[in-house]
Parts: sequence; C-alpha cells; structure tokens
Amino acid sequence: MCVCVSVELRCYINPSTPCHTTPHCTISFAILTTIQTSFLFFLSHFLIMDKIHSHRQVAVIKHSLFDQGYLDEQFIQLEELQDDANPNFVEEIVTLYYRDSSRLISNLDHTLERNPLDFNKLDTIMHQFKGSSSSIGAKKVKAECTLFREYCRTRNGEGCRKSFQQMKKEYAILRKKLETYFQMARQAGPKETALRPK
Amino acid sequence: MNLGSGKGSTSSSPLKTGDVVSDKFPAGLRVMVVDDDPTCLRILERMLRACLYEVTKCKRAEVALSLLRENKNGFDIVLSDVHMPDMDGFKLLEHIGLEMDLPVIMMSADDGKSVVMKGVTHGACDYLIKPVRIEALKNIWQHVIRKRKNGLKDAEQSGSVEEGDRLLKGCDDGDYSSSVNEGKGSKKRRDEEEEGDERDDSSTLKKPRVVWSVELHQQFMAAVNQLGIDKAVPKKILELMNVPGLTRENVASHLQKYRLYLRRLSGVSQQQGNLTNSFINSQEATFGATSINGIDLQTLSVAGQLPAQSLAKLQAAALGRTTAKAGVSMPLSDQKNLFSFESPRLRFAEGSLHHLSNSKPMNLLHGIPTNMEPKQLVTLHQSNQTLGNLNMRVSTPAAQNNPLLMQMARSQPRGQMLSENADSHATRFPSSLVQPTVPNSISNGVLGNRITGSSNITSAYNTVPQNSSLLNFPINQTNEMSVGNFPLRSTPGITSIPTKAMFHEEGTSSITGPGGFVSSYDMFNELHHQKSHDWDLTSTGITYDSSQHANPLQGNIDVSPSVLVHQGFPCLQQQSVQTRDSNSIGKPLFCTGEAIHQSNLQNVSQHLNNLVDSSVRVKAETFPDPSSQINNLFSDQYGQEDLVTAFLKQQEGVGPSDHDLDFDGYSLDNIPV
Repeated sequence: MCVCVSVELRCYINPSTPCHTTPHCTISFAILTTIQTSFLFFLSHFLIMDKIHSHRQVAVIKHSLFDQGYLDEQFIQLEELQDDANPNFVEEIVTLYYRDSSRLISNLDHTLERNPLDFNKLDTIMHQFKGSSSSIGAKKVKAECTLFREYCRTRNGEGCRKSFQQMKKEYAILRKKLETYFQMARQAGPKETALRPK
Repeated sequence: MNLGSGKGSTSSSPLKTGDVVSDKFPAGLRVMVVDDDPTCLRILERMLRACLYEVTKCKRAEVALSLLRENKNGFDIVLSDVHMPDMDGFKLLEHIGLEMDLPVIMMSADDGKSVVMKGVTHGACDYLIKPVRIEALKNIWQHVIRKRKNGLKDAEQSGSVEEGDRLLKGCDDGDYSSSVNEGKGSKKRRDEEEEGDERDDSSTLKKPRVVWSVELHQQFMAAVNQLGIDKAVPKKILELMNVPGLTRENVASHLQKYRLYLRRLSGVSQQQGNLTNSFINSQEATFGATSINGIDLQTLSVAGQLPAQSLAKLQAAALGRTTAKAGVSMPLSDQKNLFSFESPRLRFAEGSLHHLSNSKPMNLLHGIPTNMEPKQLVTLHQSNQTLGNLNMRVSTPAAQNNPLLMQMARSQPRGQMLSENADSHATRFPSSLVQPTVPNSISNGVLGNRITGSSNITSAYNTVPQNSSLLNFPINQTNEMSVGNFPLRSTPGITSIPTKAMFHEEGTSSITGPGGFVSSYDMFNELHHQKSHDWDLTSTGITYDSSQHANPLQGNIDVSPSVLVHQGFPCLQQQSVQTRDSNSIGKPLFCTGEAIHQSNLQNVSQHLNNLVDSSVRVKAETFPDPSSQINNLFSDQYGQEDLVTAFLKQQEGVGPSDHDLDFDGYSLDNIPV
C-alpha cells in the first residue's frame, strides 16, 4: 500500500510525468496516508493493549498475593529498590531466599526427627527462618514461624510438628505463586512507571 | 566518604569544629553491614546503596572484625545482626566499641524488650527491628555525626560540668545501681572536667583512631593504676604512658570507654549475683575476663566484692595464663620476660578489676557477664573486647584497666585459655575473684603459677601475680590446677576458712593465699621453681595483711563461693605449704615486696572485709575499691619489676630448693583451717 502511494505521489510530484492530475494525486495520497495511519494505529494499539493487558495480569496476580495475605508491605519495599541499575532485584532476592530457606527447612526437618526434641535449637533455626521470610515480606510464612516459635517456647513438640507442616505448605504455595508472578512479569516486559501497579 | 570529605579531606576525620559537613553528606558514608542471613544482607546492601552510602557487607562477624581492624579509619558506622552463628552480635559490638570506637547499630527480628535493652547496655547506638525499612537506614548518619560531635565537644570544652554530664549521658545509663552510678558519675565528671581542661589542643576535630594494642593498653592500665582510678586523668595518664603520637583525646576517649565498660560490668553484675562454675569456666575460656566476667563477675558483683577489676584481673590472669603456659617451658631466665609480658596484662586485669571494683564492684561483674559468654571464650579477641567492653561500659575510673585486660586477653593465646579456662574456670575464678580482695596474694598465686612461674616475678607479682595467677589458674586448670581447683570448689565455706588460715599462716611465714594458687599452677612443673618464687612473693603480700586480709579473703571467697573459694583455697593451701618450706626464700622476698604489698594488702583487706560481710551469695555491695587495690597492686607491680628481677636473682639461687616445695603432693583439700 505504501509503495503504491509513494509511486503515485512520485507520479504526481514529478512534473515531467504528466500521468495524473494533481487533484487526483492529492486525494490518493490522502487516502493512502489515512489507511496507513489507521493501520499503524490499530497495530500499535493492539501491541500496547497487549502489553497493558500483560502488565495488568501481572498486577492482578500481585494484588491477589497481597489481598490473600501471602505478601506484605516489605515486598513493596523490595520492588521499590528495583530500578534500571537493578532490573531483577526482587527476583534475585527471592531466589536467595529460596536457597537459604531450603537449607533451613531441611535443617528443621532433621532437628524435628531427633528425640528428645531440642527446642532451643529449633527456636534458633526458626528465628533465622522467620527473619529472612520477613525480609521478603512472606506474611503467611512469617506468621507460621511465630506460631512455631511459640510452641518451642512452651515445649510443645506436637504443636511444633504440626506448625512446621503448615509452614511448609504455606511456603510451597507462596513459592509457586511467586514463580508464576515472576514469569508473567518477565513476559510482560519492562514496565513503564505508569503501568506499575502499586 | 568521610564527613569531611566535602572539604576535600579524604581521611575519616570527624566533623571539624565548624561542623561544616560536606554537601554530599551523608552520601558516601562508609557502612559495614554484618549479617549471616544472605537474603537480609543483600537487601540491606541494596538499601544502603540506594541511600548513596558506600557499603561493605560481611557474612561473618570474624571477617567483619578483621576488616575493621585492618582498616581502622575505613568505616564510619557498622550495622550488625544480633543472632549470628560464629559470634554473638553483642560481643562484636563490644569489640568494635572498644577497639575502633565506631557507632554500631544492632538489628534483629527479635523485638523483645530484654534484647533491645541488651543492645543499649552494650553500647549500641541504635536498634532496628527487622525487616528493616529503607527509611530507617536513611538516617543512620546521625549516629556518626553525634558520636563525632560528642568527641569533639569533650575536647573543646574545658572542664565544664556540662561536658561531664554530656559524657555521662553518652554512657550507658542502664541499670547501674544508683550508688555506683553516682560514684562513677562524680568521678567521671571530675575526670571529664579535667580532661576538658587539659585538652587545649583538642581543636582538631579529627579524632585519629588509635589502635589500642595490648601493649598500649597495658601502658594505659599501668598509668591508671599508678595514678589511682580517682586521679586518673587523661593528661596524667598520657604523661605516664609517654607514648609518642598519643594525644590526650585518645587517652580520654579510651578512658571513657573503659569507664563505660566498667559501668556496664557493674550493671550486669548487679543483676547476676550467682557465682557459678560457669563463671569460672567462662573465665578460662577467654581472656579469662570475658567468660569469667560474665559469670563470675556476676557472682562477684553480687557479693559486691569483686570489683570489675578483679574480674579484669581474672581475665588478665586468664590471659596471663595462656602466656604462662607458654612460659611454662621457659627457663627461669625467661621468666622475667614472661613476667614483663604478663605484668602488663596483669596490670590491665588488675586495673580493670580495680576500676571495676572501685566504681561498682557489682556492676562490673554484671557487665562482664554479658560480655563473657562461653562463646566469647572462643577467641581471645572476643574476650579481650568483652572485657574491654565491660570495662568501657562501666564508667568507672577504672576504665583504663579494662582496656588493658582486653588487650591482655587478646594477646593471650586464646585456644589455651579457652580450653583450660573452661575446665578450671570455676576454680580459677575464685582465685581471681579472690584476687581483688586479696589482690596480691591471690593474683600472685594464680598468675604467678603460670606467668610468674616463668617470670619469677614473685615479688612484683604480689599484686600482679595474684591476678595473673587467678587468671592463669583457669588456664592451667585444665591441665593441672583443675585438680586442685576442684576440691576447693566443693567447699566454698571451707575455702574461706582456709584462706583465712592461710593468711594467718602467711603472716607467720607462709604465703597462703596466692601462694596456694601459684603452687597449683606450678603443677606444670616447669614452673615449679618459679612458682615457689611467686609464692613467696604472693605470700609476702598476703602475709602483710594476713590478719586483715584473712577476713577479706573470706569475704571474697564468699563472694564467689564456688569460684573464688576454690581458687583462693588452693592457692592458700599451696602457699601455706610452700611458704613454710620456702619461708626462708620467701622471706627475703617479703621484705622487698612488703612495703609495696602492704598498701595493696590494706586495700585488699578492706575488700576482703567487705566480702566477708556480704553473704555467701555475692551481693552487689559496694566493694571498697578493690579496684583501687588492684590498681595499687598493679602499680606496685609495675614498679616491682626491678624487685622482681632482684627477686628472681635471689630465687634462682634459692630456686632449686623451692621447687620441691611446690606442688608436690599438693592436695588442695588440705587447706589448713
């Protein structure tokens, strides 16, 4: 379409070629331009909308994470630390957290297998786990850690075990959700400030 | 970037008197962040970078400490987590405060009141609850400015009460008994004022970070002891120390730290009045002071008898022990060397102990316990610092002592001490505890065993050895003393009695108190001859006040029932045994040390008396300046080196015979009552 338009325009513009009359050229040109613009408009609109849609999706996921209590304010703090110089900061932190927490969880598993239970050690490990969970804003996990520590304090072995199982569940759920979240975020591409959900 | 970076200076100088801060400040603030949690560490680093600070992160406290030490002026502020696997955050805090005088902010997910209070008492500038928000980090620069300003102000102002007040405010106002605080406070004010007056050249805002090495601290402690806690003012200390390049400000700030440490110790000691074996063990572990301080101090503090000084001494002794051990294999000729090495330490310990006692016997103890956790034993440094911190905390004039102790602790091979201490800790502690009260005798005994053994500075040791012996005792305990010590422990009451008896015996001819210890140490055998020497010296000291001290000894023993008693007990026993035999030898020694020791003994007796008065449970009673006594002892020792030399010469001649006297067949239980 553009080629035709340009050819036509050239014909019109070129005085040497008396192929068409000016009025005709102008009209054709105008039509072509309009068509082109429309085309481009729709194309870009489509792309933008798609992007917006993706980002919106990400936002939706994120909001749900907050609404359902999986994440808290601290996560937002982390996101605010992310910028052009640190484009994947949040994901980097979460990855560090996964690594560290896996180690702590297996440590807890081993310690819970002992008999009799070493509550002090359990408490120490859980304190650490709670600290890092709170650093990334893992709200539900953190709450379960608090409960676990309370059971440690009251030397309630059964309570500890139950709480630990629950905590592992919450941890697994959060991890899954975060993975989905990051995947979507990566697909949506770099967010512009305007699109950044708050 | 330093505060003064804006002005073009690249050194980490404090704000200049004009307080002209760089326009870029606080950007470029050099922060060291320590946290074992990698997630938190990374987040903090990112946050601090976002605040435009220069960040150095460390996963481990040891690494952080070595970095800080290597680069004393390379950092402006430290952020540390409380719960770390390799070193307790508070311990690190103390170390930093003592060695580098940097502001430290503690962080933890734990927001319990007790933990936060602990941060305050240990001297943290601030306490942040995790998860830390960036807003909280944006303002940490204020602590840097505040610290520098306070330092400058002290320098600038001349002896105004305000200055003293300001300094006082700077100290931990935590939990010291009012009496102690008042005592310390008044002393502090006076000193502060004097410091202010003397600091006419304090105009330089820059407070160069002086590395208070062990030697330097020992000199500091010696000077303080010589002057006496009450009279220890930076100017005089500086003159006595005669270290080129050292400024009054350096001394003053160090003195302040020491006082804070002592105050903290006394505060802690007040809280903990239980003498436990752990105390002893703790002693042994580190520095002697650290662990001991923590536990023993508490006990001591309870008794109110054991001033921080004693603890410090103990620590020093513990430190000395490590040295002593090394010296065990040393020939007599090397003894002197050891002695000199030890004595500075001892002095430190004594000084610190002294200070502690002066200001607040009990508090000191308390302060020490905090520092001295068994873990601390792990490293001498830790112990040293702890001790130092303890001393620092206690705002007693004896602040000086602590640094020495700490240094001493540091210098001591930790490993030895720690392991040894652990075992004989309990036993040793009593001896160390006893030291304050019967500074000469006990310390001599304890220290003497190890340290003195090698150095034969028995005479001089009266003051020092006692302490050292106590300290050494723990160290040696694992090896040898333990045997002796243990028996003692079992019978606190008995120990007191024996102590007394020993004393009396000493009065007659035997050096009961310290000697006993010494002998136990001598078990090492290598130091046998040395010990006997030490013994004599120690006994000399003891004899002086035998009657008077006997009671005090008891008191002391009571103070740290388990620890002191035991330690003192063995010493006493041994001494009595040895002294009898070595009376001839010791007598000449006595003469030399007599004059010196008597003054000390007097002090000791006072303390002992106090101890006696207190119940077995150490209560935080005002302990009549054991620290002063200790100081005296130290100073005496300081000046006793010559004596020691002379004595050693004597001993060498007499030596062989003395050796036999020592340890053989010592049964610590055979304390003549």
